[in-house]
Amino acid sequence: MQIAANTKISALIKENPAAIEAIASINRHFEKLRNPLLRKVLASRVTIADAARIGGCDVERFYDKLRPLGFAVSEETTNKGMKVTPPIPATTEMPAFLAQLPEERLLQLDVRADIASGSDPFRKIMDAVDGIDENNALQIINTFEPTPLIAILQKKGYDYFTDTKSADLIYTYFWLGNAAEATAGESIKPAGNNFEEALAGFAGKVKRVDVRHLEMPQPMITILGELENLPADEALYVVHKRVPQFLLPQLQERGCKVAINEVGPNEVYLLISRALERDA
Amino acid sequence: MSAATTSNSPGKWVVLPHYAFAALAFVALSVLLLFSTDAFGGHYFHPKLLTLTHVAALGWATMLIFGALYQLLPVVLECRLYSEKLAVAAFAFLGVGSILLAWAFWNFELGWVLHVAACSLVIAFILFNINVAQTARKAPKWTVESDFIVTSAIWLLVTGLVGLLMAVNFTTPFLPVEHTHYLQLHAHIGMAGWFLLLIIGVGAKLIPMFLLAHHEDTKKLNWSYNLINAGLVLFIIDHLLFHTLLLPVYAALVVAGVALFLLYLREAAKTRQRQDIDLGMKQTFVALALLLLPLILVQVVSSRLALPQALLSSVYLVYGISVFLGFISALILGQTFKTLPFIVWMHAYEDYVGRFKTPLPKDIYSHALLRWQNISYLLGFILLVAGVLLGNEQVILAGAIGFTITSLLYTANVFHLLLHKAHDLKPFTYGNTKAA
Repeated sequence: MQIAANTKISALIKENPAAIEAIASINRHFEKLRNPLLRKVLASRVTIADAARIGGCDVERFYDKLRPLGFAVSEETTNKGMKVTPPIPATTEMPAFLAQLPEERLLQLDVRADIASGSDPFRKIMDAVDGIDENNALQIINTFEPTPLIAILQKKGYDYFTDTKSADLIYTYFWLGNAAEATAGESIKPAGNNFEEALAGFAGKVKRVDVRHLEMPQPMITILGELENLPADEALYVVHKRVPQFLLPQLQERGCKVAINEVGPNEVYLLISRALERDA
Repeated sequence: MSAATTSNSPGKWVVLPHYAFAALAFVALSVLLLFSTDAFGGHYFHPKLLTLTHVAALGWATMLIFGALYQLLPVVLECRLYSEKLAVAAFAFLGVGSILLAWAFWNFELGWVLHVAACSLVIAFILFNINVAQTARKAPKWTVESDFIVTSAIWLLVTGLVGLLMAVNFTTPFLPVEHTHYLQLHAHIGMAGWFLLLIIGVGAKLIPMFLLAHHEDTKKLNWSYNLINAGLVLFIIDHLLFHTLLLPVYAALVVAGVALFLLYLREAAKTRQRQDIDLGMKQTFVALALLLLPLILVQVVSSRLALPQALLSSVYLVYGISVFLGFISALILGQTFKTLPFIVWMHAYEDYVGRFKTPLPKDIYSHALLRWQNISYLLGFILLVAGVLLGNEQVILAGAIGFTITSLLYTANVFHLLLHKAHDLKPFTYGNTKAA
């Protein structure tokens, strides 16, 4: 099997269960893969690049461990490998909402002990999430960035912020975000029911982006970049000059759904959304 | 793993070797030009000139067009290329045929090598035609650009067949009239039928796209298509059967067709949203300006003006130079850097876009090399034409040196692109960074 930085961990395990032990031996961050419960939660949502970042190591370490198991590193990546730098402590500003939140309004939950003992803190976290309201926030203290959890809570409409204190200590905050950005104020000409329905399904949760003024391949870069940051329950409404030939397979591969509305020879609307994942 | 397998675009091993071969053929062409300064003093039927013309037309221009078209055809027709295997086979036959033909002409050995070369080329053209026609049959949409491209492929095959008949005629004469008569036919079907129609078909699609312009009214293009094909068909019939004095009229039809295409581009350019013109597009506009030269000269060569023989000979030579080393070469030199970087970028980065900070196509080739390439090209072209008109071998040599520098800069840049690999990508930090 060919692997690359964007290969999902679950794909590796499916191909060869021995990959579990191989990855777990990289460092203790990955020992949780041995726990079937955590494996189910993490592996299907995390790529090699994500895992390397969470574990604070190089993608190359993964390749070194996986090559003996018969995995071939895709030639798209150079032999030198792609340096995935461990995250530097976040320098991004803490969102205003969090910064002005009084200490006593912060619900703290430390899951490091659970992770270390190999039990899944997921239920515990979800119970704590239920306690979030308009004027408080939840602070999760963990040894890695809980990527899958972020994805799940984003889908439920929570805003989040990660604060990397050190390689082994990461604070993740969740709170109730504002309603999604207002949609485009332009009326959409009737198109296939498919497009209309899809649009209706995301009522009020659509981000609009116009790429008509961009030169190839900027539209594709813009759209895929927006999608990476798009909350899972929102859709991206793209105004384009043509049906993008190179983008569609990319969207397909990333598990996105696309509805297309061709209005004219130089006006095409696309509605792109993430295919809904089942909550773990 | 790669998404390219699910898109309409062909594998990189189908497209990229064409660019590599074409670049090396351009170097070979310039080097042969250095050794051919003595050939520009007389008639165009000269072994060295035949070699130069065919290296330029086949190894350089047709080779690159094949490669680019395998990438572009699926974009224009919105469906997958019919067969990658046929494309690879056509590449092999075209490559071998070009090399053998050049060797045969340079040494003026008109025996079996020339026959094998001509057969090899005709096979390449047949395979190419099958591929284009079968791809076109699957196309969900049909536009005037598709008409231009499919028709040009047919004219290419006709050009090759006429060439093959002439090659046979060298050893076993059977054609009723002397061969320069057929050479005119062969050259003009190649120039107007293959190169001109193809360039208009592709250019009408790509040039507005690169300018971020949109133009919906294709009436001018439809008439451009009709006029050029009418002019060409009438020219062939007349040339073979009647020998009237109407040649300038047929030439005028073709010129009018080209003029309509240029007007179409001008109208499209008015709607452009992109005001800055990069080096690749600047060179493309230089090529379109150079197109005016053969358009004027075709009127001169088609009307039997009573010019002095020496001047007429050099006008014929400048006409040929202005087509192959002027318009077509200039266009390739510019458009290579509008198409190849994107193709290379696509194969290298498609899976990382949005997740990692990727460079852009314009970041993966050298702008300095391209700037100097454009400058040395224009100098080389002007010197070469001036040298031919003045009958001065030193000036012709200076022009050849200009072309050699151009070809080396071009090839360095092309191979720099072809050998590009993705490396040292920095992932976007999840969620906290907005994509740039």
